[in-house]
Order: sequence, then C-alpha cells, then structure tokens
Amino acid sequence: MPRITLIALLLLSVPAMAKENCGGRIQAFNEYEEMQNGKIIEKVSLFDLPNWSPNEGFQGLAVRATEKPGTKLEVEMQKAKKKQKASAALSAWAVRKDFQYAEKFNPKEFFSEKFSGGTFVVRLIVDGKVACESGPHKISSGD
Amino acid sequence: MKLILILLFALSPALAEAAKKTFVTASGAKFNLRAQPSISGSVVATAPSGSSLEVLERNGDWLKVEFNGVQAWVSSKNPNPASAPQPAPAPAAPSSSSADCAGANCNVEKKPAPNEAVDQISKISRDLSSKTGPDPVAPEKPATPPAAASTWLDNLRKLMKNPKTKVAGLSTSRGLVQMPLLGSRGNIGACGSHHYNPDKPIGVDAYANPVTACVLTSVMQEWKKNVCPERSGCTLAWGDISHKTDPAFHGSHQTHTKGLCVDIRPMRKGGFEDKPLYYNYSDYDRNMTTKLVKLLRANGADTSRLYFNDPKVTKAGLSRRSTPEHANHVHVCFNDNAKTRAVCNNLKVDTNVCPELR
Repeated sequence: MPRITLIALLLLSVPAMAKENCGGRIQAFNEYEEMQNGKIIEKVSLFDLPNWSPNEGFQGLAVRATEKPGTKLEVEMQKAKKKQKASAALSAWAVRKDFQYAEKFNPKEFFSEKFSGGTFVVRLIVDGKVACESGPHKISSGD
Repeated sequence: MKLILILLFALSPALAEAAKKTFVTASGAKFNLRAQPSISGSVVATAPSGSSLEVLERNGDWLKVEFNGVQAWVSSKNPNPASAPQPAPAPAAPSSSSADCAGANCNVEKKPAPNEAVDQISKISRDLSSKTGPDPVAPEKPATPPAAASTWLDNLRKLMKNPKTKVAGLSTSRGLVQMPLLGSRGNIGACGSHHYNPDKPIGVDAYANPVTACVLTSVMQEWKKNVCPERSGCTLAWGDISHKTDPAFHGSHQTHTKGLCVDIRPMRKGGFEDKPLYYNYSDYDRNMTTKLVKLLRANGADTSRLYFNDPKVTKAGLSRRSTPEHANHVHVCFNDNAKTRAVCNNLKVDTNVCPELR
C-alpha cells in the first residue's frame, strides 16, 4: 500500500477514535409495573440504545453509578442541516442503585416529528469532554 | 377542590331491569377506586370527573362500583346513599359538597401537581398487598368453571349495537372505548397482557373501536389461556391503539386513527422484559410470534394490513412486509365486519383467566 494512502487512512481514523463507541456505557430504560401474586411490582428494563419512534422507544437514559461524578449525557438529533441538542445531568436512581439516570431528560418530549427520518446520537460527557458517543440511531415516525 | 357526589338512580323506560341500577357520579374532582372498602384499601384506579359508575354492591359507606371493567370500592358520604339498588322517581339533586369529603374517608383528593399525583399513586400501588386477594393474573387455586357474566363484554356489546350509548363505567371518546388498564403507570392490561410505551394520562393511547376491543379481548384471553399462561417472554405486549382525543396520534401514527389497529411486540425467548425487540435479535421467538400471528388471523384480522417484517413469516404468507418500523412490532387491524362480530358474539369471558373483566 502506498505510504500516502496509509497516512490518509490514519488521518481519517482520528475522528472515529475520538468518538469511540460507548460499548454499553449508555443504556436506555423502561420502568413499568406488573402484577405478581396480587401485588403490583415496580420493574425496570435496561437495554442498549435502540432507534427511536413515538410508539417504540425508551423512557429514559442511564449510565453505571461507577461513572465519574459530574458525568453528563448529551443527546443530539439531526436531520439534514437541522440540529437540536439537550444536555442531561445524572442523578442517583432509587430503583437501580448500580446506575444513575438522566432524571430530567424525557425522550417523549425531546424527540419531535420534525426530525422523523433523521438520526440521533447520545454522548457521554466526562470532565467536560466527549468520552464516547452512541449512534447514530434512526428516528422514525413509528407507524 | 370542590366535590359533588351525586347518586343518580337510572331509569330506563325500555328496560325495567335498568331501572333498578344505581349510579354514582363524580363532578369537580376524581374518584379513587380502592381494592377494599376501606380508606386503607389500595387504589387500583382513578375515575375522572364526570365518570358515571354503576353501583354493584354496598358495604356501609362504601359502594362497589365498576370502572373500565375494573370492580372496586368508592366511599360515599352522601346523606342519601344507595342501599339495595332500587328505582327512584327522579335523579337526586347534588347533595354533598367538599365538606362531606374533607374527612379521612374521603375518596376525592385535592388535585396535586402532576409529579405529586404520580408519586402518590405509585406509592399506593406499590402497597397493593395480598389483601387484594388471589393474583388475578395467575390464580394459585385450580381453575373453576368460567364465570358466565362479564360486565366488560356486556358493555362492549351495548356499544357495538349503538356506539353512542353512554355506558356507565367505561371511558369512551370518538366512538372508541378505553381498554382496561391497572396500576399507576398504565402497563397492566387485561388477561395478563402488558401495555408498553404508555402515554400520559393513563389509557389515552388505548382507545379502540368496540368491535376491535372485543376481538382483542378474545385474542388476549385465548393467548393466556391456551398458549402462554405464565408471565414470560411470550406475554402479550401491546402498544398504541388509538388516541382518546387526537385522531392523528401526535401527527405520526396515521394508521391508528379509528381504533381498529393495534401494535403488538414480537415474542421473546426467556423472561418478560419491557424493551424493544426486533426479529433479528437473538432472543426473538419466531415460533411463538408465528402462533400469535395465526391467532390474530383466526380472530378476523384484516390480512391486507397485517404487517410484520420477519421474512420467514412473510414468506409463509402470514404477514406483509411494510415500513422498517414493522421489524419490531406486528401491526394488526380488526375491522368491524361479519367475521369480527361473529368472534365477538361467540366470545365468553373466562373470569378465571381475565378476572378484571368481570
């Protein structure tokens, strides 16, 4: 392989390394209830970030409690040149003490029809810097 | 908040039977419906202002009523409470004010801020204990013969005859009826089913045409009774049907305008999880999903609008491939036609399987 090609490849790979995949550090969740032996039980499902649609998405975002204090999440939607961003602080989570969650981030309020057909990414911000990025994930109308 | 409790003695000139029915109506506030006839009884549902609830039974100051197919207790401090259901010459005048409900036995509470309301209901719901009796989802006792009566089904049949009929205990809007839901998050559906991705307020995304509601009940019951009796990955998880007031469903859900169509998640191997599932995931259960699709078809599903993108299911001619979203849910519609009405007419609710539909 010509030396110039190798150099070009190395240069191109720099941005990709800066945005390393989060490898499950950012999780989506759904809280729900179910009936067990006459009792209503609170439960939570945690899962890798899926695509978003109004009829099948997730209720919120969480990271492990072991992440550094002050860690934040940043969610950004994009469709063509249109962008919209939200930053979310993390709080202790009573239902899963091994995780902290973005208490004030409500996906149903954030994701909008205007970005249907676009994408979103979620970034983990540690010490004010992007530690990793998950996405892009698709945003659909969800029909 | 001002509360007025009105006891209305319903008189139907057509049906002498109806003249014996007693209703309780709330105006100006909401009702807490409790599992037991006591202020300590767990709140199993709340009925909004204006709800007219049929009184089924009385225990002291407490009235057993039905709302959305759920039977529960509501306090009545009315000075002229319902005794045995009897006809009355005319509806009683408003007879109670906020003062009547200021004490500990009051059902109606000051309207809290939205977050407070959720917290409060969550707290009470978490408290639902064995006092509520056997698990309505998975009865521990051996099954007894199916109970004959289902008020839910009777009410649906009334609505099928005349969608404009006002039926006590049911939430209706736009000619649609809300599917029964329990709990503070609106996840717990009838016959052991699970309602995923619920909107607020609870039930607002679960409005169905009465015929569709009836057929869906048939599917839920059949699934739990004969295919998937235990809570697990095969639990029937359904999502959006139609919106109570917004036909366009936030502008994005055009095929869910008339209460005919419902989204159902594919089946999962292993235990139940409330999370998206795509047909290419390793825990996708094709065998059970295929069974579900076949059951939907047997219950009169509109096969031209039965969408699910698993190639093996579409190749078998059981579903149609549609937009990419249909990789994570089965989209099924039950139109109002002779086949679906026949399904509904033949349906007998087994209250051992679906106790909340008594």
